[in-house]
Amino acid sequence: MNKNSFFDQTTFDDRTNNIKQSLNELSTSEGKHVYVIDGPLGENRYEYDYKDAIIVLIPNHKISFLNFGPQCEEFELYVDDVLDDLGSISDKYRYRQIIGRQRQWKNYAIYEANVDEDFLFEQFLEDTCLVDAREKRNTELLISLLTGSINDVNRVQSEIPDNVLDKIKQKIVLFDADQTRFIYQKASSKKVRIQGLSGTGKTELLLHKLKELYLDSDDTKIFFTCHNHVLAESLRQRIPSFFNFMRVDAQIEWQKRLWCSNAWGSRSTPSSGLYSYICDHYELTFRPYSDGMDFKRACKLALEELKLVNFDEYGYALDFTLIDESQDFSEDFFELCSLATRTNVYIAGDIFQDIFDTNLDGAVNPEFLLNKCYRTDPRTLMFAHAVGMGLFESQRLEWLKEDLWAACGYKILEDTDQIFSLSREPIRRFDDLDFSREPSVEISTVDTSNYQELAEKILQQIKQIKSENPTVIASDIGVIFVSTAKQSYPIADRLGILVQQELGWDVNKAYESKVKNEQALFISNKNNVKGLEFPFVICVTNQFSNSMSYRNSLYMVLTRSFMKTYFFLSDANEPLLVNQISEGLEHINKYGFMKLKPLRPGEIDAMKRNKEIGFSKHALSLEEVVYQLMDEEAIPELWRPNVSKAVIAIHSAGDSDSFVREEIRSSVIFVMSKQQGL
Amino acid sequence: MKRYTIKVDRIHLPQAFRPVRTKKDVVDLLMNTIKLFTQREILVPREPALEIVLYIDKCSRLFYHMKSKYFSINFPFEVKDIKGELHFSSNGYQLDSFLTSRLLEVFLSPNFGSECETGFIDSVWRAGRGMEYFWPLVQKLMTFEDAYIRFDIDEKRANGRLHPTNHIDLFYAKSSFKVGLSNRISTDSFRDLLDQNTDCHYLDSE
Repeated sequence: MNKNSFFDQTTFDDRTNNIKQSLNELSTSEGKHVYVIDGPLGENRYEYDYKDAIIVLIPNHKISFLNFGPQCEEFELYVDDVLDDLGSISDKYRYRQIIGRQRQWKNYAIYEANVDEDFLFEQFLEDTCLVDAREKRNTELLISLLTGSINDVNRVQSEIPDNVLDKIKQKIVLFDADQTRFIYQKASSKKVRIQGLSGTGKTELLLHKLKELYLDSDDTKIFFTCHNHVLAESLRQRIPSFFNFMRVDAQIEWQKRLWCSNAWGSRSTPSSGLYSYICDHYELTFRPYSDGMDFKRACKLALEELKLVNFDEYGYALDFTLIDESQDFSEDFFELCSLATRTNVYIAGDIFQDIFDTNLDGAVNPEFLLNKCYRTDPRTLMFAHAVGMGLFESQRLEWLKEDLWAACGYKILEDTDQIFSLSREPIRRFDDLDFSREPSVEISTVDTSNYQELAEKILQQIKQIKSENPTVIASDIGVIFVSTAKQSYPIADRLGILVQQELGWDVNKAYESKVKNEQALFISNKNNVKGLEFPFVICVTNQFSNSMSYRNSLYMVLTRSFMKTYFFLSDANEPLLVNQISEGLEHINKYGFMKLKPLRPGEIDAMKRNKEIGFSKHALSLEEVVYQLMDEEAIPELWRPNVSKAVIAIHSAGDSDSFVREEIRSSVIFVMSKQQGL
Repeated sequence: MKRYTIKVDRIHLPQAFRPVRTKKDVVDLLMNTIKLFTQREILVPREPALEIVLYIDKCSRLFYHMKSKYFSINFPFEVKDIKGELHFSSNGYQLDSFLTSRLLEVFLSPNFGSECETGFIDSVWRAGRGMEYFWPLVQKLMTFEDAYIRFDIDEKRANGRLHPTNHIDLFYAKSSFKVGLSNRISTDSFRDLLDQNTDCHYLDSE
């Protein structure tokens, strides 16, 4: 069964068995979202006495009320009640301005039938099929209301757009079955893990879950956390606007029922972090950051202390805990949260970050695995994975086992001695939009050493996007530098001035502001793009490095676009590498799937060896690399402070991963020779 | 004494058109002004709404001249003109695109001024990783005397001698106060007022 597409909220009933089976098959064979419900999801206040009917929701089809009981007035009353409630939900989220009143949509959007021996499934699909674009759009908006997948109605215009950019921007988002289950169904275990690729909507789901948990009772205590301060701050700001958007009437009782902070916090303000909150509640020793005390260790020690605490005396610190970006934490932190939490700990993380982990096998069995990326064109995603794992290159960096390909949403098309080919399913965002002839990624080689020229080149690319898409606005484009190294900063400064001057667009350098500005061109490096998406991305990278963190960043940046990524690759890269990548991309763009060479005997072992040699998952800082190399080069202790200072100055503190280790080694040797006056 | 001038459109430095209220605003202005001076050869303003003048002297200052207000702040850095290209530095460390952005990252972050000390430490640590001169620079920006002074022509809120149309504002936060002027003053007079090398100005003793 395709778990992703079929959602059934109704209770098991023999009479509905056949039709549910057919609906399930339909969702599997055509990859269509199919929902079976008996009332609006996420709207607890609506209850209905009539139990012999189901509501079937399929995009591009009418909303169908199917009666399994005898023909009776109660069924009619049930339909009327649900439609009344749907009308009021539509008012609540201000959909009426787009879809009109119930009398205006009822005729084309609603279908009723008795399921008896004359009921034919094929006929039912034909009878409910919608053709008119406006009717399809409006019915889909109604489906989004019934499934609690609320779209920002301001994004949807009354007029049906006539160009691809606006069509995608206005496409109605519907949660798939897995996402819907995560939000509305009770958890089966205390720790609930949700894993998915970037772009699968993990944070959005956590916010929906938070809303459900917050409204479910008046006195639950919930803590929402992540490792990074900036991300925590943006989440804290996002919660009130999300609650407003979801028309939540209840006030947010900050620091009483709801907390949203980074994980660590400070001793003086216990509510400033989850760890500090737990330490304060159970009177554990709070350990601040210091040499030899990182967060992992602080959690380990707190966990040991907490295990000795008398829970009868202290009770639970929290009812629910929600953790985002779980890949930033150690298992001890989850355990600490779990002990301090009464009901559930929801842990959301990025599966691909773990793919570079050598012990991934155990990590692929989360309660919820989101393997469909709704943001990105599948072709872009395939290309990004291929570049991330070096799949087109002579020396590949990573290869996945069969179950992992599937966990990442891949289907193995062909696996022979000559060819290994992979494909992804198309996604709903691009339904009805035929732009498959347009490549989803375009490669250009550029001279990254001349910052003036590169800024000018990026400006020309922006101008081209603007001329090809007349409705494009500044915030539709993201210019992202993969590396955080020094060289990208003057390019960004210069580009910013040129864009302001020549296009009259505001510019947001997100590595300074740490926020997304809806009115400005986005410029950033890999560090500030998590969770963001743009119709167009211009991705700029210097020389390729084999470090895992560089490849992972490259993958993350490439997948930020939902229409097209312009990949600006340094011309200092080996021509062979550029050719291999370009050829791989050409195949994806042309045929829609990835064609690779099958795994060679011994290749996995070679990859493992490479990893052990130096491409560790946890990237070393520049200082650490310099000290390692000074060890290897046997630089005398006396000289080390001066040598490291000079080498760090040469290479900038930007990011050690983007530098080739041997280049740093040359600097160490060079500086040492200068120090000795050679 | 050296003098450098650029003219820019409003879009290049919107910060100059917003009221300065905090240290964060001052640093935001300073860093972005340095960026504009560094890239000055590409500036071709369409409707120049702002003139920025940098005076390098015993006490260096930046002047921002707009239609109905001028203001000035202390400029606590050094500058070198190498073949027409301006290079800014602080105690020998170059304030290039990278460093100015890293400093902005710290000062624009909600962690700056937040009650949680680890947040601020985290910001400084992340932004200044590997740069031992970073914290002294942050400290310098946090503690330097910004010496803010503004000349305003405020016809909208004018109210006799309580809020004169032409006035000078000293300081920018709660402790700011006005000194009324009978007439509008020129940018040169404003500059002269702050020039340590020329005669002092006197307030009337009425």
